[in-house]
Amino acid sequence: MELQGGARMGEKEYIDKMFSVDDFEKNEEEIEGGLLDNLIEEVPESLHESIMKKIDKHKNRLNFKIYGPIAAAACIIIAISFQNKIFVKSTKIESKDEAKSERKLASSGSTPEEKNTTKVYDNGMKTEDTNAKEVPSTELAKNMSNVEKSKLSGFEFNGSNEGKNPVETRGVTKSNEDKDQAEAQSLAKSNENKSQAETRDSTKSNEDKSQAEIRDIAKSNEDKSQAKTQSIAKSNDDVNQVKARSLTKSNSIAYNFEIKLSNEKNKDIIEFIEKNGEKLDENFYKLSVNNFNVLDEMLKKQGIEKITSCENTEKEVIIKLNLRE
Amino acid sequence: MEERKLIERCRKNDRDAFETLILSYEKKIYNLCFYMVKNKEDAFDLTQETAIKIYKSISKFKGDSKFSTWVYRIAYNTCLDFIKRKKDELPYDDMIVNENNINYRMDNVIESKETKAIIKKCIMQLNSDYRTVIILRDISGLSYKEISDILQIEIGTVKSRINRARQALKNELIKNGIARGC
Repeated sequence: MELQGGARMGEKEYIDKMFSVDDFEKNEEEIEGGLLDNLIEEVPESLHESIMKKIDKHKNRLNFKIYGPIAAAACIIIAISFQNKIFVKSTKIESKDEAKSERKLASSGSTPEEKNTTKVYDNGMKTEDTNAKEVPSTELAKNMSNVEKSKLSGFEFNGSNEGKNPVETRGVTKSNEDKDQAEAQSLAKSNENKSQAETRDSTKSNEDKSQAEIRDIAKSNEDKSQAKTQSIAKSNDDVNQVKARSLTKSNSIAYNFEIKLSNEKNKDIIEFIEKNGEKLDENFYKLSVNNFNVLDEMLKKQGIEKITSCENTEKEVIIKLNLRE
Repeated sequence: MEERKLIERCRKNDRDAFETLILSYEKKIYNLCFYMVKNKEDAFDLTQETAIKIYKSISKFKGDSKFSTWVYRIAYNTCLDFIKRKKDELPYDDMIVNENNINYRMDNVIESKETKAIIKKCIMQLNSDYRTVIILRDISGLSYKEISDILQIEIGTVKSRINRARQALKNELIKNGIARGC
Protein backbone atom coordinates (compact mmCIF):
# COMPACT_ATOMS: atom_id res chain seq x y z
CA MET A 1 0.00 0.00 0.00
CA GLU A 2 1.38 3.36 -0.96
CA LEU A 3 0.69 6.77 0.41
CA GLN A 4 -1.01 8.85 -2.23
CA GLY A 5 -1.34 12.61 -2.65
CA GLY A 6 -4.56 12.78 -0.63
CA ALA A 7 -2.63 12.74 2.62
CA ARG A 8 -1.66 16.11 4.14
CA MET A 9 1.84 17.37 3.47
CA GLY A 10 3.03 17.08 7.10
CA GLU A 11 2.00 13.49 7.44
CA LYS A 12 3.46 12.61 4.05
CA GLU A 13 6.72 14.27 4.89
CA TYR A 14 6.79 12.60 8.25
CA ILE A 15 6.25 9.16 6.80
CA ASP A 16 8.75 9.81 4.05
CA LYS A 17 11.38 10.78 6.56
CA MET A 18 10.49 7.83 8.76
CA PHE A 19 11.08 5.46 5.90
CA SER A 20 14.23 7.25 4.72
CA VAL A 21 15.93 6.33 7.95
CA ASP A 22 16.98 2.74 8.26
CA ASP A 23 18.03 2.80 11.88
CA PHE A 24 16.85 5.62 14.12
CA GLU A 25 19.34 4.66 16.84
CA LYS A 26 22.27 5.51 14.57
CA ASN A 27 20.61 8.28 12.59
CA GLU A 28 21.87 11.79 13.20
CA GLU A 29 19.36 13.46 10.92
CA GLU A 30 16.76 15.51 12.69
CA ILE A 31 13.10 15.15 11.97
CA GLU A 32 11.41 18.42 12.80
CA GLY A 33 8.65 18.42 15.41
CA GLY A 34 4.98 19.04 14.88
CA LEU A 35 4.70 17.28 11.52
CA LEU A 36 1.74 15.29 12.81
CA ASP A 37 -0.15 18.33 14.10
CA ASN A 38 -3.00 17.26 11.88
CA LEU A 39 -3.62 14.49 14.37
CA ILE A 40 -4.62 16.96 17.04
CA GLU A 41 -8.09 16.11 18.31
CA GLU A 42 -10.82 18.67 18.40
CA VAL A 43 -11.95 19.54 21.89
CA PRO A 44 -15.56 18.67 22.84
CA GLU A 45 -17.74 21.77 22.85
CA SER A 46 -18.85 21.35 26.41
CA LEU A 47 -15.32 21.06 27.76
CA HIS A 48 -14.71 24.75 28.34
CA GLU A 49 -18.12 25.23 29.95
CA SER A 50 -17.67 22.32 32.30
CA ILE A 51 -14.17 23.47 33.24
CA MET A 52 -15.49 26.90 34.18
CA LYS A 53 -18.35 25.33 36.13
CA LYS A 54 -15.86 23.32 38.12
CA ILE A 55 -13.75 26.41 38.68
CA ASP A 56 -16.77 28.32 39.97
CA LYS A 57 -17.63 25.45 42.28
CA HIS A 58 -14.11 25.37 43.56
CA LYS A 59 -14.12 29.13 44.04
CA ASN A 60 -17.31 28.93 46.10
CA ARG A 61 -15.79 26.17 48.18
CA LEU A 62 -12.69 28.28 48.63
CA ASN A 63 -14.81 31.22 49.74
CA PHE A 64 -16.62 28.96 52.16
CA LYS A 65 -13.28 27.77 53.53
CA ILE A 66 -12.22 31.36 54.06
CA TYR A 67 -15.46 32.82 55.34
CA GLY A 68 -16.90 29.61 56.82
CA PRO A 69 -14.94 29.75 60.08
CA ILE A 70 -15.72 33.46 60.43
CA ALA A 71 -19.41 32.78 59.92
CA ALA A 72 -19.27 29.85 62.34
CA ALA A 73 -17.57 31.99 64.97
CA ALA A 74 -20.20 34.69 64.52
CA CYS A 75 -22.96 32.09 64.89
CA ILE A 76 -21.40 30.77 68.08
CA ILE A 77 -21.15 34.28 69.53
CA ILE A 78 -24.76 34.99 68.65
CA ALA A 79 -25.86 31.66 70.10
CA ILE A 80 -23.97 32.29 73.34
CA SER A 81 -25.39 35.77 73.75
CA PHE A 82 -28.87 34.47 72.97
CA GLN A 83 -28.43 31.69 75.51
CA ASN A 84 -27.38 34.22 78.13
CA LYS A 85 -30.49 36.24 77.42
CA ILE A 86 -32.62 33.14 77.90
CA PHE A 87 -30.79 32.32 81.10
CA VAL A 88 -31.34 35.79 82.53
CA LYS A 89 -34.96 35.63 81.50
CA SER A 90 -35.45 32.21 83.05
CA THR A 91 -33.86 33.30 86.31
CA LYS A 92 -36.15 36.29 86.34
CA ILE A 93 -39.12 34.02 85.76
CA GLU A 94 -37.91 31.70 88.46
CA SER A 95 -37.60 34.51 90.94
CA LYS A 96 -41.07 35.68 89.97
CA ASP A 97 -42.40 32.18 90.48
CA GLU A 98 -40.72 32.00 93.83
CA ALA A 99 -42.33 35.25 94.84
CA LYS A 100 -45.66 33.98 93.63
CA SER A 101 -45.38 30.74 95.55
CA GLU A 102 -44.32 32.69 98.60
CA ARG A 103 -47.40 34.82 98.34
CA LYS A 104 -49.53 31.74 97.92
CA LEU A 105 -48.02 30.18 100.98
CA ALA A 106 -48.64 33.27 102.97
CA SER A 107 -52.21 33.66 101.88
CA SER A 108 -53.42 30.06 102.12
CA GLY A 109 -51.80 27.45 104.20
CA SER A 110 -53.61 24.16 103.86
CA THR A 111 -51.79 22.27 101.15
CA PRO A 112 -49.22 19.66 102.11
CA GLU A 113 -46.42 21.49 100.32
CA GLU A 114 -46.89 24.51 102.46
CA LYS A 115 -46.44 22.66 105.71
CA ASN A 116 -42.80 23.48 105.96
CA THR A 117 -43.14 27.16 105.48
CA THR A 118 -46.44 28.21 106.95
CA LYS A 119 -47.61 27.52 110.43
CA VAL A 120 -50.94 28.32 111.95
CA TYR A 121 -51.21 28.37 115.65
CA ASP A 122 -54.13 27.71 117.90
CA ASN A 123 -54.71 31.36 118.39
CA GLY A 124 -55.00 31.97 114.68
CA MET A 125 -51.62 33.64 114.38
CA LYS A 126 -49.89 32.77 111.19
CA THR A 127 -46.16 32.81 110.86
CA GLU A 128 -44.05 32.56 107.80
CA ASP A 129 -40.88 30.66 108.11
CA THR A 130 -37.98 32.61 106.67
CA ASN A 131 -35.68 29.67 107.06
CA ALA A 132 -37.22 27.00 104.88
CA LYS A 133 -34.69 24.33 105.76
CA GLU A 134 -35.67 24.25 109.38
CA VAL A 135 -38.13 21.61 110.42
CA PRO A 136 -41.35 23.07 111.69
CA SER A 137 -41.89 22.57 115.34
CA THR A 138 -45.62 22.43 115.39
CA GLU A 139 -48.09 21.92 112.62
CA LEU A 140 -51.72 22.54 113.06
CA ALA A 141 -54.23 22.93 110.39
CA LYS A 142 -56.42 25.95 110.07
CA ASN A 143 -59.63 24.03 110.09
CA MET A 144 -59.88 22.67 113.57
CA SER A 145 -62.81 20.41 112.96
CA ASN A 146 -61.16 18.43 110.20
CA VAL A 147 -57.56 18.61 110.90
CA GLU A 148 -55.51 17.00 113.56
CA LYS A 149 -54.38 18.87 116.51
CA SER A 150 -51.48 18.37 118.77
CA LYS A 151 -51.80 18.29 122.41
CA LEU A 152 -48.93 20.15 123.85
CA SER A 153 -49.10 18.81 127.30
CA GLY A 154 -47.14 16.39 129.35
CA PHE A 155 -43.77 17.52 128.18
CA GLU A 156 -40.86 15.90 129.76
CA PHE A 157 -37.64 17.77 129.66
CA ASN A 158 -34.28 16.37 129.90
CA GLY A 159 -31.50 18.75 129.12
CA SER A 160 -28.75 16.18 129.08
CA ASN A 161 -30.46 13.37 127.25
CA GLU A 162 -31.65 14.88 124.08
CA GLY A 163 -34.10 12.72 122.26
CA LYS A 164 -33.94 9.89 124.73
CA ASN A 165 -37.18 10.44 126.59
CA PRO A 166 -39.99 11.04 124.16
CA VAL A 167 -43.35 11.62 125.62
CA GLU A 168 -46.37 10.40 123.88
CA THR A 169 -49.61 12.17 124.37
CA ARG A 170 -52.66 10.53 123.13
CA GLY A 171 -56.30 10.95 123.23
CA VAL A 172 -57.16 14.47 122.57
CA THR A 173 -60.90 14.28 122.31
CA LYS A 174 -63.47 16.55 120.92
CA SER A 175 -64.63 17.54 124.35
CA ASN A 176 -61.26 18.98 125.04
CA GLU A 177 -61.05 20.93 121.82
CA ASP A 178 -62.75 24.05 123.04
CA LYS A 179 -60.77 23.98 126.22
CA ASP A 180 -57.51 23.67 124.35
CA GLN A 181 -58.44 26.38 121.92
CA ALA A 182 -59.32 28.83 124.68
CA GLU A 183 -56.18 27.95 126.53
CA ALA A 184 -54.05 28.48 123.50
CA GLN A 185 -55.73 31.76 122.63
CA SER A 186 -55.36 33.19 126.10
CA LEU A 187 -51.81 32.02 126.16
CA ALA A 188 -51.12 33.61 122.85
CA LYS A 189 -52.68 36.88 123.91
CA SER A 190 -50.72 37.14 127.08
CA ASN A 191 -47.52 36.17 125.43
CA GLU A 192 -48.13 37.91 122.16
CA ASN A 193 -45.69 40.70 122.60
CA LYS A 194 -43.39 38.66 124.66
CA SER A 195 -43.31 35.77 122.28
CA GLN A 196 -42.79 37.97 119.26
CA ALA A 197 -39.77 39.48 120.84
CA GLU A 198 -38.68 36.13 122.10
CA THR A 199 -39.16 34.65 118.70
CA ARG A 200 -36.41 36.83 117.40
CA ASP A 201 -34.19 36.82 120.38
CA SER A 202 -34.62 33.48 122.00
CA THR A 203 -34.47 31.48 118.84
CA LYS A 204 -31.09 32.92 118.12
CA SER A 205 -29.68 32.88 121.60
CA ASN A 206 -31.09 29.53 122.52
CA GLU A 207 -30.49 27.92 119.20
CA ASP A 208 -27.70 25.78 120.50
CA LYS A 209 -29.25 25.22 123.86
CA SER A 210 -32.75 24.24 123.12
CA GLN A 211 -33.82 21.92 120.43
CA ALA A 212 -37.33 20.74 120.62
CA GLU A 213 -38.76 18.38 118.19
CA ILE A 214 -42.45 17.99 118.16
CA ARG A 215 -43.99 15.66 115.81
CA ASP A 216 -47.62 15.57 115.28
CA ILE A 217 -49.14 12.61 113.73
CA ALA A 218 -52.82 12.83 113.96
CA LYS A 219 -55.53 10.97 112.22
CA SER A 220 -58.87 12.65 111.82
CA ASN A 221 -61.22 9.94 112.72
CA GLU A 222 -64.59 11.55 113.16
CA ASP A 223 -64.55 12.82 116.71
CA LYS A 224 -61.40 11.25 117.91
CA SER A 225 -57.97 12.55 117.12
CA GLN A 226 -54.71 11.11 118.15
CA ALA A 227 -51.62 13.13 118.32
CA LYS A 228 -48.18 11.95 118.97
CA THR A 229 -45.84 14.53 120.29
CA GLN A 230 -42.24 13.99 120.96
CA SER A 231 -40.47 16.74 122.72
CA ILE A 232 -36.92 17.10 123.76
CA ALA A 233 -35.87 20.17 125.60
CA LYS A 234 -32.71 21.11 127.32
CA SER A 235 -33.80 23.88 129.59
CA ASN A 236 -36.22 23.41 132.43
CA ASP A 237 -38.48 26.30 131.70
CA ASP A 238 -42.10 25.95 132.41
CA VAL A 239 -44.47 24.50 129.90
CA ASN A 240 -45.76 27.82 128.74
CA GLN A 241 -42.34 29.09 127.90
CA VAL A 242 -41.54 26.00 125.94
CA LYS A 243 -44.83 26.32 124.21
CA ALA A 244 -44.07 29.88 123.29
CA ARG A 245 -40.66 28.90 122.08
CA SER A 246 -41.94 26.09 120.01
CA LEU A 247 -44.51 28.39 118.52
CA THR A 248 -42.08 31.10 117.68
CA LYS A 249 -39.04 29.04 116.87
CA SER A 250 -36.99 29.18 113.70
CA ASN A 251 -36.62 32.82 112.72
CA SER A 252 -40.26 33.44 112.04
CA ILE A 253 -42.32 36.59 112.35
CA ALA A 254 -45.97 36.54 113.14
CA TYR A 255 -47.98 39.13 111.29
CA ASN A 256 -51.53 40.29 111.30
CA PHE A 257 -52.02 41.44 107.79
CA GLU A 258 -50.44 40.95 104.45
CA ILE A 259 -50.73 43.74 101.95
CA LYS A 260 -49.97 43.35 98.28
CA LEU A 261 -48.45 46.50 96.94
CA SER A 262 -46.85 47.66 93.77
CA ASN A 263 -43.46 49.27 94.05
CA GLU A 264 -44.33 51.82 91.41
CA LYS A 265 -48.03 52.48 91.88
CA ASN A 266 -48.25 52.45 95.66
CA LYS A 267 -45.26 54.54 96.53
CA ASP A 268 -47.27 56.77 98.86
CA ILE A 269 -48.46 53.81 100.95
CA ILE A 270 -44.99 52.33 101.12
CA GLU A 271 -43.60 55.66 102.20
CA PHE A 272 -46.30 55.98 104.84
CA ILE A 273 -45.47 52.55 106.23
CA GLU A 274 -41.77 53.25 106.20
CA LYS A 275 -42.24 56.59 107.95
CA ASN A 276 -44.74 55.56 110.56
CA GLY A 277 -43.84 51.94 111.10
CA GLU A 278 -40.99 50.14 112.68
CA LYS A 279 -39.17 47.77 110.40
CA LEU A 280 -38.90 44.36 111.99
CA ASP A 281 -37.45 42.52 109.09
CA GLU A 282 -37.46 42.75 105.35
CA ASN A 283 -41.06 43.49 104.37
CA PHE A 284 -42.27 43.24 107.97
CA TYR A 285 -43.37 46.40 109.70
CA LYS A 286 -44.91 47.14 113.07
CA LEU A 287 -47.51 49.91 113.12
CA SER A 288 -49.48 51.43 115.95
CA VAL A 289 -53.22 50.84 115.81
CA ASN A 290 -53.85 54.49 114.96
CA ASN A 291 -51.39 54.50 112.14
CA PHE A 292 -52.78 51.21 110.93
CA ASN A 293 -56.27 52.74 110.84
CA VAL A 294 -54.94 55.59 108.68
CA LEU A 295 -53.23 53.03 106.46
CA ASP A 296 -56.42 51.02 106.26
CA GLU A 297 -58.27 54.08 104.99
CA MET A 298 -55.61 54.64 102.34
CA LEU A 299 -55.85 51.04 101.27
CA LYS A 300 -59.60 51.19 101.03
CA LYS A 301 -59.42 54.35 98.93
CA GLN A 302 -57.03 52.77 96.51
CA GLY A 303 -58.92 49.49 96.54
CA ILE A 304 -55.97 47.43 97.71
CA GLU A 305 -56.88 44.19 99.30
CA LYS A 306 -55.56 43.26 102.68
CA ILE A 307 -55.13 39.62 103.54
CA THR A 308 -55.99 38.91 107.10
CA SER A 309 -53.74 36.55 108.88
CA CYS A 310 -54.76 37.36 112.40
CA GLU A 311 -56.90 40.17 113.69
CA ASN A 312 -55.38 40.05 117.09
CA THR A 313 -54.68 43.75 117.27
CA GLU A 314 -54.52 45.55 120.57
CA LYS A 315 -51.82 48.15 120.56
CA GLU A 316 -49.85 47.50 117.45
CA VAL A 317 -50.23 45.73 114.18
CA ILE A 318 -47.61 43.78 112.30
CA ILE A 319 -47.97 43.87 108.58
CA LYS A 320 -46.19 42.07 105.85
CA LEU A 321 -45.66 43.85 102.59
CA ASN A 322 -45.83 41.84 99.47
CA LEU A 323 -44.11 44.08 97.00
CA ARG A 324 -44.28 43.70 93.26
CA GLU A 325 -42.74 45.58 90.41
CA MET B 1 -3.69 40.21 26.37
CA GLU B 2 -0.22 39.24 27.37
CA GLU B 3 0.06 35.86 29.04
CA ARG B 4 2.08 37.22 31.93
CA LYS B 5 -0.59 39.79 32.79
CA LEU B 6 -3.25 37.14 32.64
CA ILE B 7 -1.24 34.99 35.02
CA GLU B 8 -0.88 37.93 37.40
CA ARG B 9 -4.62 38.50 37.34
CA CYS B 10 -5.23 34.79 37.88
CA ARG B 11 -3.10 34.95 40.98
CA LYS B 12 -5.57 37.50 42.33
CA ASN B 13 -8.41 35.03 41.77
CA ASP B 14 -9.61 36.78 38.61
CA ARG B 15 -12.01 34.30 37.09
CA ASP B 16 -12.23 36.02 33.68
CA ALA B 17 -8.48 36.10 33.31
CA PHE B 18 -8.30 32.40 34.08
CA GLU B 19 -11.02 31.71 31.54
CA THR B 20 -9.04 33.49 28.84
CA LEU B 21 -5.85 31.74 29.84
CA ILE B 22 -7.26 28.23 30.04
CA LEU B 23 -9.06 28.67 26.73
CA SER B 24 -5.70 28.77 24.94
CA TYR B 25 -4.49 25.63 26.71
CA GLU B 26 -7.60 23.44 26.72
CA LYS B 27 -6.80 21.87 23.35
CA LYS B 28 -3.18 21.09 24.24
CA ILE B 29 -4.13 19.58 27.59
CA TYR B 30 -6.97 17.59 26.13
CA ASN B 31 -4.78 16.12 23.36
CA LEU B 32 -2.01 15.14 25.71
CA CYS B 33 -4.57 13.47 27.96
CA PHE B 34 -6.31 11.79 25.07
CA TYR B 35 -3.16 10.23 23.63
CA MET B 36 -1.92 9.24 27.03
CA VAL B 37 -5.09 7.58 28.33
CA LYS B 38 -6.45 6.58 24.90
CA ASN B 39 -9.99 7.45 25.88
CA LYS B 40 -12.07 10.56 25.09
CA GLU B 41 -14.21 10.47 28.24
CA ASP B 42 -11.25 10.07 30.52
CA ALA B 43 -9.40 12.76 28.58
CA PHE B 44 -12.38 15.06 29.14
CA ASP B 45 -12.32 14.45 32.90
CA LEU B 46 -8.54 14.71 33.12
CA THR B 47 -8.57 18.03 31.29
CA GLN B 48 -10.99 19.39 33.88
CA GLU B 49 -8.89 17.99 36.69
CA THR B 50 -5.79 19.60 35.21
CA ALA B 51 -7.57 22.95 34.85
CA ILE B 52 -8.60 22.87 38.51
CA LYS B 53 -5.03 22.04 39.51
CA ILE B 54 -3.75 24.95 37.46
CA TYR B 55 -6.31 27.29 39.01
CA LYS B 56 -5.43 26.12 42.51
CA SER B 57 -1.68 26.35 42.10
CA ILE B 58 -1.20 29.21 39.70
CA SER B 59 0.00 31.35 42.60
CA LYS B 60 2.88 28.88 42.98
CA PHE B 61 4.04 29.36 39.39
CA LYS B 62 7.34 31.22 39.73
CA GLY B 63 8.06 31.74 36.04
CA ASP B 64 11.27 29.66 36.03
CA SER B 65 10.01 27.79 32.99
CA LYS B 66 7.56 28.65 30.26
CA PHE B 67 3.96 28.66 31.42
CA SER B 68 3.04 26.17 28.71
CA THR B 69 5.70 23.76 30.00
CA TRP B 70 4.33 24.12 33.51
CA VAL B 71 0.80 23.43 32.24
CA TYR B 72 1.96 20.39 30.26
CA ARG B 73 3.78 19.03 33.29
CA ILE B 74 0.64 19.28 35.41
CA ALA B 75 -1.38 17.56 32.71
CA TYR B 76 1.25 14.86 32.26
CA ASN B 77 1.42 14.15 36.00
CA THR B 78 -2.37 14.09 36.23
CA CYS B 79 -2.45 11.50 33.45
CA LEU B 80 0.30 9.43 35.05
CA ASP B 81 -1.66 9.36 38.31
CA PHE B 82 -4.73 8.29 36.42
CA ILE B 83 -2.83 5.51 34.62
CA LYS B 84 -1.37 4.34 37.92
CA ARG B 85 -4.85 4.25 39.38
CA LYS B 86 -6.09 2.16 36.53
CA LYS B 87 -2.94 0.04 36.46
CA ASP B 88 -4.07 -2.18 33.66
CA GLU B 89 -3.03 -1.13 30.22
CA LEU B 90 -5.83 0.85 28.74
CA PRO B 91 -7.36 -0.74 25.70
CA TYR B 92 -7.18 1.30 22.58
CA ASP B 93 -10.40 3.06 21.85
CA ASP B 94 -11.39 1.34 18.64
CA MET B 95 -13.93 4.04 18.06
CA ILE B 96 -11.17 6.25 16.75
CA VAL B 97 -10.59 3.95 13.85
CA ASN B 98 -14.19 2.95 13.38
CA GLU B 99 -15.52 6.47 13.36
CA ASN B 100 -13.24 7.33 10.50
CA ASN B 101 -14.60 4.37 8.60
CA ILE B 102 -11.47 3.01 7.03
CA ASN B 103 -12.17 1.59 3.64
CA TYR B 104 -9.39 0.07 1.65
CA ARG B 105 -10.28 0.84 -1.84
CA MET B 106 -9.64 -1.52 -4.65
CA ASP B 107 -7.24 0.93 -6.30
CA ASN B 108 -5.19 1.09 -3.06
CA VAL B 109 -5.58 4.85 -2.74
CA ILE B 110 -5.62 5.98 0.82
CA GLU B 111 -7.51 9.12 1.66
CA SER B 112 -6.21 11.69 4.10
CA LYS B 113 -8.69 10.68 6.78
CA GLU B 114 -7.70 7.08 6.47
CA THR B 115 -3.98 7.90 6.75
CA LYS B 116 -4.66 9.94 9.87
CA ALA B 117 -6.64 7.13 11.43
CA ILE B 118 -3.95 4.57 10.71
CA ILE B 119 -1.18 6.75 12.09
CA LYS B 120 -3.32 7.46 15.15
CA LYS B 121 -3.97 3.78 15.59
CA CYS B 122 -0.26 3.01 15.29
CA ILE B 123 0.61 5.67 17.87
CA MET B 124 -1.93 4.16 20.23
CA GLN B 125 -0.23 0.79 19.87
CA LEU B 126 3.00 2.18 21.31
CA ASN B 127 3.80 1.92 24.96
CA SER B 128 3.06 4.86 27.25
CA ASP B 129 6.58 6.37 27.25
CA TYR B 130 6.96 6.28 23.47
CA ARG B 131 3.45 7.53 22.98
CA THR B 132 4.09 10.50 25.24
CA VAL B 133 7.23 11.66 23.42
CA ILE B 134 5.57 11.25 20.02
CA ILE B 135 2.65 13.42 21.20
CA LEU B 136 4.90 16.06 22.66
CA ARG B 137 7.40 16.15 19.77
CA ASP B 138 5.64 15.12 16.59
CA ILE B 139 2.07 16.20 17.31
CA SER B 140 2.47 19.15 19.70
CA GLY B 141 5.83 20.26 18.25
CA LEU B 142 7.60 20.95 21.52
CA SER B 143 11.35 21.39 21.69
CA TYR B 144 13.64 18.85 23.32
CA LYS B 145 14.20 21.28 26.15
CA GLU B 146 10.50 21.66 26.80
CA ILE B 147 9.96 17.90 26.70
CA SER B 148 12.89 17.50 29.02
CA ASP B 149 11.27 19.94 31.47
CA ILE B 150 7.89 18.31 31.26
CA LEU B 151 9.10 14.74 31.70
CA GLN B 152 11.85 15.78 34.10
CA ILE B 153 14.48 13.84 32.20
CA GLU B 154 17.73 14.77 30.44
CA ILE B 155 17.63 16.16 26.91
CA GLY B 156 19.77 13.26 25.72
CA THR B 157 17.31 10.84 27.17
CA VAL B 158 14.52 12.71 25.43
CA LYS B 159 16.27 12.45 22.07
CA SER B 160 17.02 8.75 22.36
CA ARG B 161 13.50 8.05 23.58
CA ILE B 162 12.07 9.92 20.62
CA ASN B 163 14.26 7.94 18.20
CA ARG B 164 13.19 4.63 19.70
CA ALA B 165 9.58 5.74 19.71
CA ARG B 166 9.79 6.64 16.01
CA GLN B 167 11.38 3.29 15.19
CA ALA B 168 8.55 1.56 17.03
CA LEU B 169 6.00 3.70 15.22
CA LYS B 170 7.59 2.88 11.85
CA ASN B 171 7.30 -0.82 12.61
CA GLU B 172 3.67 -0.35 13.52
CA LEU B 173 3.03 1.56 10.31
CA ILE B 174 4.59 -1.22 8.28
CA LYS B 175 2.45 -3.73 10.13
CA ASN B 176 -0.58 -1.64 9.18
CA GLY B 177 0.35 -1.52 5.49
CA ILE B 178 1.90 1.92 5.27
CA ALA B 179 4.90 2.09 2.96
CA ARG B 180 7.11 4.85 1.69
CA GLY B 181 5.05 7.52 -0.06
CA CYS B 182 5.49 8.98 -3.48
